[in-house]
Amino acid sequence: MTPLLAGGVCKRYGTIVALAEVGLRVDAGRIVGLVGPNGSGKTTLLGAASGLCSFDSGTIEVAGHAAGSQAARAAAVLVPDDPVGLDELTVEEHVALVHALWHAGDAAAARAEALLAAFGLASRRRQRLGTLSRGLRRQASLVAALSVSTPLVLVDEATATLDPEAVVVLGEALASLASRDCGVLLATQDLHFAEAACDELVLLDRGVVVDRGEPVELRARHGAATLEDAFLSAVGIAGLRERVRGELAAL
Amino acid sequence: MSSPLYSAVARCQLRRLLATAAASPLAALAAAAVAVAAPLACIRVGAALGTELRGSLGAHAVSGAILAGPALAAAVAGMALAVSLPDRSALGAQIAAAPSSQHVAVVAVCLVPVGGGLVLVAPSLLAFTVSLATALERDAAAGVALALGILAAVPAGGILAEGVLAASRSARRQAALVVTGTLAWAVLGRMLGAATLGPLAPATTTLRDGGPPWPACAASCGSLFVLAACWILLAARRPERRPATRGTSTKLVRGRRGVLPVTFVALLVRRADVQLASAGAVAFGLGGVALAAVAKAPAPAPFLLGTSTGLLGAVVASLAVCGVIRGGGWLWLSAPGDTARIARAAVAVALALTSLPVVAIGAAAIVVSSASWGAIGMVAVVVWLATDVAVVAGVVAPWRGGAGEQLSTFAAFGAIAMATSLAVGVVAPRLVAVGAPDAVVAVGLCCAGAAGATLALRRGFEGARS
Repeated sequence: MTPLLAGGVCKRYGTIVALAEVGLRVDAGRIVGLVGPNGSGKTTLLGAASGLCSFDSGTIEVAGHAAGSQAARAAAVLVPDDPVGLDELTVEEHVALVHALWHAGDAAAARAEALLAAFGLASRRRQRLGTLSRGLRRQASLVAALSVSTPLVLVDEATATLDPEAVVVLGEALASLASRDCGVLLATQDLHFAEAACDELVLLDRGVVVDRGEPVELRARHGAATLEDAFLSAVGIAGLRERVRGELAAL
Repeated sequence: MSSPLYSAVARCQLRRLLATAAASPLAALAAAAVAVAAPLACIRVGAALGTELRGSLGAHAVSGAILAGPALAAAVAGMALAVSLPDRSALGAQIAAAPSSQHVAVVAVCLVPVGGGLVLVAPSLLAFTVSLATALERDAAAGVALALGILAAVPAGGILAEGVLAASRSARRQAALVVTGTLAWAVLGRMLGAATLGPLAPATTTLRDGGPPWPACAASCGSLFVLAACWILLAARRPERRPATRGTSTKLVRGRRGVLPVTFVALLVRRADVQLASAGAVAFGLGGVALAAVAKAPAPAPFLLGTSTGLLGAVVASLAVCGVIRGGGWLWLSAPGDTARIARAAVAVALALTSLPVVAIGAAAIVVSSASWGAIGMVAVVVWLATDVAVVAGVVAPWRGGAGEQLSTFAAFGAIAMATSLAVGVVAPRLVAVGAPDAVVAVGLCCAGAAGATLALRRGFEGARS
């Protein structure tokens, strides 16, 4: 069963188009990266796939179940950009709650122990989430999600607020998940991480998929030396650097 | 319907409460003393009221008002709870995406903290109604039926709020369900002797006629459970908010003068919870005026019932003010300037926004009935002090969007209001007894309240610095 299959997904917030006919497929064992400017619809797409927000038209199936249904929720786990909520829980209580809600079993507890050690959170397991920095809270959220073992893992703003060490651990943890046939859909602004971690990239701009493919393919297609240049070319602002340099010179 | 979510949310609430108590031990001690003393005070108040009403209990209007008055207030509280009920996302996006049903999520974000609130309120309510029933020479169980009836009005108010929300979001089926339920309530009430009280009518019949109290207890208890279940079902199917179709921008102020109050007004009146609570306050307040007028209650009863009912909803603006300011704490605290000026402006805005709905209701009540200057002055002092108490409650338990945080603010408001009421009850008569004119005492109380609220608010958002 394909972990995530989306077709023709549209979502509007009033007059603002968040997603326009977006189609996406995340196969088992693949890591797909969503890349796009702020407000391009990455978080909306992840929210729709996780059942947190509705969409106007199109279909999203998570492991064969309609997104938002209880079966689809059980088949996907989300790492949000802003991990706030039950801040008075300790790290280990939060992880245990996520395991209980997803009926994760004893194997998840063992995986969580390994992830806690890898992220360097073992010594903070009894610290409350509200007392941790945002980066550490995101790490706790990652430990909880990545240890559950669902067919699909959704990660919003994958590397935001993480220190370089945690970014390395995250890359390895995602690769390990993919090797166990889990599909991963992550949104990120970190093109270096996206190039290193993802098998496929989907470039979004104003709710529209403007290009997609493996990082190497994208660079070759746009005749760009770096993924950053390929991205700028794909969203139609290839000359951005020169233009801004000229404008700022007036300062 | 058990879920690990319930214990997690309950644990969070308990820890939040302990952290609040540790941060303000004196306030916590006062709140604990009030919680312990309130049932004792309620026994005395119930007995005194019962003695007063014993002679006129035979009148339908009096026996009906014994339940209708508190039930109306409870319905407003229920409406405010429903309006401030955070959605599933208050649990945090990761937990909100869990494979739990929407009913479980509603119970988790709402009923665990409501249960905690009931532990505080129910003993006082029961003490009041049982002593009232005993003083009216009725069985104590008639008091239990009355208490359960008042509690049942809380989910009834919540259901009405869900109906209004559904109608405003074009969910016609849900709104029609609420209208149908309301009609069924009225038909059932008419069959039982009081259309407005619906299935709660037997509680007043038992008080008036002295019949066996257990059928009334069963009716009130059954209504409580059925209404609570209906509220959960409706809240779980609450339609999504419709996005604004077009963005608007307004230039608020041109110069520096008045920028703070205008900013606070904009921040508060643009909040959906404040908008709905204020609209509900006006609707329920006018409902109270109409109820009193239909029952031919003598002046100033319509004025007092309408304004006091409206105040319960209007006070949400004052409860929210500290949370709203703390939300932008990074700006206020990093900007050059005096924090006292910010606090003064915020208290003034809270007073204005709380007063406006009450003034509207009061004006309507004066048109329908009449009110003496004394009654108007008394309501003005109550509104002023309630605003100050609400601002302080918002400092003790800041009004945010998190699970149960708004309900904690309501609980803090209840505790501080009771403490203030007891303190004013002790101090004011003594000042009058030594010769101070009533007006001077009233102005003094208002000044003390405003100063206390300003000081608390200033300390509240300066505390965000640490």
